[in-house]
Amino acid sequence: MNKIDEKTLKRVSEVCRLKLSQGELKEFSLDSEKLFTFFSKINQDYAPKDLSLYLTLNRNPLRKDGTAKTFEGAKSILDLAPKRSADYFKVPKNL
Amino acid sequence: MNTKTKLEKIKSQEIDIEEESQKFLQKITDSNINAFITVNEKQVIEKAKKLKENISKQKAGKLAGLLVSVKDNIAVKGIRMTCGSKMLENYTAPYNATITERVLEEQAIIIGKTNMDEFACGGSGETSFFGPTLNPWNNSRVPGGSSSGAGAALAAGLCDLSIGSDTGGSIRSPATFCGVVGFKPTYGLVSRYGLSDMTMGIETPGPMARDVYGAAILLESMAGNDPKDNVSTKQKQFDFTTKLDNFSFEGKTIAVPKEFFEGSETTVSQIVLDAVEEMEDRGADRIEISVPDTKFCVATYYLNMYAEFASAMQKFDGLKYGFRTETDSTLNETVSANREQSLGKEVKRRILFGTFISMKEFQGKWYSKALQAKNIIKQKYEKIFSKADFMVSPAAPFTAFEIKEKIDDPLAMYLADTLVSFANLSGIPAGVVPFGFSHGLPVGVQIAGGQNKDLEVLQAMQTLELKRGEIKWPQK
Repeated sequence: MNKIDEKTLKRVSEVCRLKLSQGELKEFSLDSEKLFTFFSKINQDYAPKDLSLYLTLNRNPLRKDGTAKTFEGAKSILDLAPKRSADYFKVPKNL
Repeated sequence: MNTKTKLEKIKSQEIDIEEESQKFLQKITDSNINAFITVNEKQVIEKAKKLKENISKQKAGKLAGLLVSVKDNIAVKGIRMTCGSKMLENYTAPYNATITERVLEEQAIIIGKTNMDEFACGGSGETSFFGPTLNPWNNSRVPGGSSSGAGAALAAGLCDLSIGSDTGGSIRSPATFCGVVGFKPTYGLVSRYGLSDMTMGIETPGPMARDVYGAAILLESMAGNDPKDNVSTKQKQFDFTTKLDNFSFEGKTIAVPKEFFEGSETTVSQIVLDAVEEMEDRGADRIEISVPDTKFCVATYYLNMYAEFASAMQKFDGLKYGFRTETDSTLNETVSANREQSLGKEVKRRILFGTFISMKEFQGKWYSKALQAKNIIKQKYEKIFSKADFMVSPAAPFTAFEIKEKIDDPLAMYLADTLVSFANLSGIPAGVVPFGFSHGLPVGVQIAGGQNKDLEVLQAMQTLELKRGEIKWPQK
């Protein structure tokens, strides 16, 4: 069974901060059965059971430290803020 | 008129670029295909006027006076960048992407930002918040996606060149459905700095054009090292145009993968096989190969993409920029509501499933396996290209399908990527060149090559293009 039940999806939606209606949870749960059954073929037939392989072939080159520059685009970024107070972003309270 | 001729006529001032720009802007206004989200009307004419002076002083850049459209997930400073989403409906890019800087240095005129599937989540051009793009060849059909506006704008003659991005076929799918040239470069050849990321491990910006020369000169302008992108090539500059004609299929080996034809429509397969025959007639050796891994590509691609996409989308919370709902609740509730109200169904689906497979308790079953599968596929293609110069196949098993035909069936939509995602998973170049029509709809031939064989792939594409001859473009 590859279906993700609505209860699990509700928990996932809280983790990723994405509010979903009951109808959406139901629809995505139904989608999950079809999609993850299809995806499960790489589990069963393809990827090796041994997880000791390198997970990624990309390398992350380190950049040389340069001289720090003052960022001059601050105003244009603040202008995009949905809510602001003077030079600060205005965000909702945490609790 | 082909791109090379147009450039020559601009440089010799036979074409007045100010008049030409006005003509294109009028065509966009008159068009019904919804290819653009934002048209850069005012700046286009100003830029054209300035460029006219430069050209008259013989200071023309490589793209001097060509009207280039940019997919709306690539930053152009001072112009709205929506990614096809309500979330970024009012977002203006505060800086240029590296590739934007480069095409501007070569004196391109950015005519506007093209429509796209929301955050590149779609293969049909139907998921944009700004409405679907229509296929210029038949308005009831999809143009392909996610660079839907780019492909449609070129086919309808609304721009000279387009910059798209390809994560799992997003340049090549609209290229085949709209009958234009689309090229996905080797991963790292073109900088991603300023591209709104979807799946940074496999995606790349790339050129689209009406002809191979157009794609080659746009790629040449964009490619090269960028210190701001950590997977960028070390080479500073590339030449894809001067050697474009200097090519022969003599002594080349063409691999024809049988699995790519198995589920394809007969007419589509036949057009691709005609292209293979043409290559053989020109001296290429043909080998039939089997790539059973093809059936794992879609699953591998979507699992990798889900996880990276969910992570990339975390920044769209509506706090510092983007859509913000009018609530007076806590931070978490506000962010959840912002995302709920501004993101479309496919984007939500991918964030949700991507978060699911990245969670510690489920990760081993899905994401780790998908990363391993990606490496296996990459190695398989390295092996193929140690024996063959090119792999030739369809880019889609069918021609452009009806609007709404697949939109409610995510698996059917995902399966449309079966023949294209291999190139992203293995980081190799692959391009599509139109080579025929089936029931009035274009069919492209996909040519892939080994890593860093971008020039050779473009050369092979151009040889087919010359054989095919002129296309009679749609007049809508």
